[in-house]
Amino acid sequence: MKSKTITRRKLLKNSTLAAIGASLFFTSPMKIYGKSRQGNLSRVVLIRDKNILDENGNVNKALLEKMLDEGLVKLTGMKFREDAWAQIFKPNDVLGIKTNVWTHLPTPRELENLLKEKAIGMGVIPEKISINDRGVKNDPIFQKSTALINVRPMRTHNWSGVGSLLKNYITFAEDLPAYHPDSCADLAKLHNLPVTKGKTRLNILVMFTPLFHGVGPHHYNKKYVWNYYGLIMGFDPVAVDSTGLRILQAKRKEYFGEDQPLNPPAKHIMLADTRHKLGTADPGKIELIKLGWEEDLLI
Amino acid sequence: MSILFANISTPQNITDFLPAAPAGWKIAMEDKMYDSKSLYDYIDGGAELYISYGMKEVISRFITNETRDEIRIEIFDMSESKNAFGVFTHTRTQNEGIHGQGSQYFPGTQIFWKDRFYVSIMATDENETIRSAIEDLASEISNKITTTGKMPDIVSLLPEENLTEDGCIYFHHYIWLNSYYYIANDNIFGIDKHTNAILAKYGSKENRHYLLCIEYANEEKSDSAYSVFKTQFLDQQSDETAMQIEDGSWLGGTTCGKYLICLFNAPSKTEINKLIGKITENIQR
Repeated sequence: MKSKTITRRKLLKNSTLAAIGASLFFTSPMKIYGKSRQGNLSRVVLIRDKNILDENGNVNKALLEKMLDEGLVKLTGMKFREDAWAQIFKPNDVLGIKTNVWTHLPTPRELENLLKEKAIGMGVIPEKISINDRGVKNDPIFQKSTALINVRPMRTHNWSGVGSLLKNYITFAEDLPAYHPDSCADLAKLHNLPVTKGKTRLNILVMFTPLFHGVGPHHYNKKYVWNYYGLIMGFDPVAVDSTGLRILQAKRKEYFGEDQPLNPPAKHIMLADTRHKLGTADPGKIELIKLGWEEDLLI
Repeated sequence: MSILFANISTPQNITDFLPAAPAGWKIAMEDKMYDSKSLYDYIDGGAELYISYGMKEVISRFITNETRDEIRIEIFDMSESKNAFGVFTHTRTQNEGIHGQGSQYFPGTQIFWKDRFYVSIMATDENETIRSAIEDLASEISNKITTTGKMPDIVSLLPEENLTEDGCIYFHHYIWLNSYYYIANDNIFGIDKHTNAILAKYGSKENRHYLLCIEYANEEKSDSAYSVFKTQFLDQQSDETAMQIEDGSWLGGTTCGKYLICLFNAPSKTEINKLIGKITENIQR
């Protein structure tokens, strides 16, 4: 039996594995901004505002900017927002904002535009900024990029358990099916491609209306979306995904009234830590800072 | 669960089942057909589920009305009725039994299976008009599929006492091993297209336990799988086939001919022995 096998029994007997596996299967550019400031902990900021969406689901841009600024100040440990954003963008950057255009739950346009505005505010030339998802391989800005922002909503997924930050770089892959085996176990490799390696400055997992369960061929039903009104921000994509996953799992347990594991489990998040060393999935090694609205936090 | 249907192979083609647009609706674009290779181009991120259940091809039709509501009709040919049943068990939380051989309605989405076909009718929204159209479409497709299919034999082996209603999933790809309860991250039991596996929920939500039964090609393979179970889950120094583990729950397993039977999260050794005894009896019957 290969030692990589992780059974439930092994998780129960091995405290090191249990720390990750209990939230089951429950990242980081080569240079992890902010990580060194907190020793071995990966800092993750969860910020929520229950007024971020109006009754029609439209995003309040002013509140969104406030959430982003406050979250980034906490994440970077800077005193002022300008200093915090200066940690993310440099005037000579060629910036790719890697968004997600999935029909049912795309990255909010307001968030994409706000990130672009923030970059311009820090001196990045507008012509050197691109927002793209499925066209990144043919986008000269992405291909020449010095900096990437990884931003997308959290959702469950038919084959990889969840579609989150780790999976968001799939459109950089030359051969997409090559990442499908074993329920997309090795998605972390996407963050070590020449075009992505070491470039991600900020990861933002959008938790405004996450999808916690899917039905049908297109894996979407509005019955399984709920208003969470949050953003999860971090420099370590594994830590951000792990945090989002714990919230999703908690929602599933609340909704179904019993443990209802993701099917299949999002093993790629754990393996991004244990196999690929991209970041940490272990909640015990994540410094989670919670800001804003606290009701129904689920974590 | 206990109703078995005649396994009549059908020469019908999925194009034969496409429904007419209900009154007030029209076909929005040309129908499209996909096979297991081109399915990736059609289903954004979800193709592998259907491929893992042996999908041969799928046809899709879009209809729309004056208010620009859209309904997407998809008819999957899953090669064999057990696959259509399996993919239905993967998704359904309850069998409402209205269409085909098993169906469930979610807001704006109707799914059902009949013979070797799995059908999904999905709208972008839901209102009375849409719901009525979905109902008509499902009825028409179900009527057009004139044959029925047989559920996998392994389903009939499940002991009925304390079995959660519609609480089982049939599969033959290892990815679905953890559907109800995390067991292992790898294919430790050698589940593949030559095996039939079923995972079933027993007891109340507060007292949930899980029965895994896998049918292999022969006894040698089931014995080999049991060795893995013993190594990975039981105390290797003991001959006990059941034991209480670190979280206080009980687990146990055995083989019966070409079948591997495992119980997880059971409340007692007695419950394990009872369920294993009953399914063994069903296998030998």
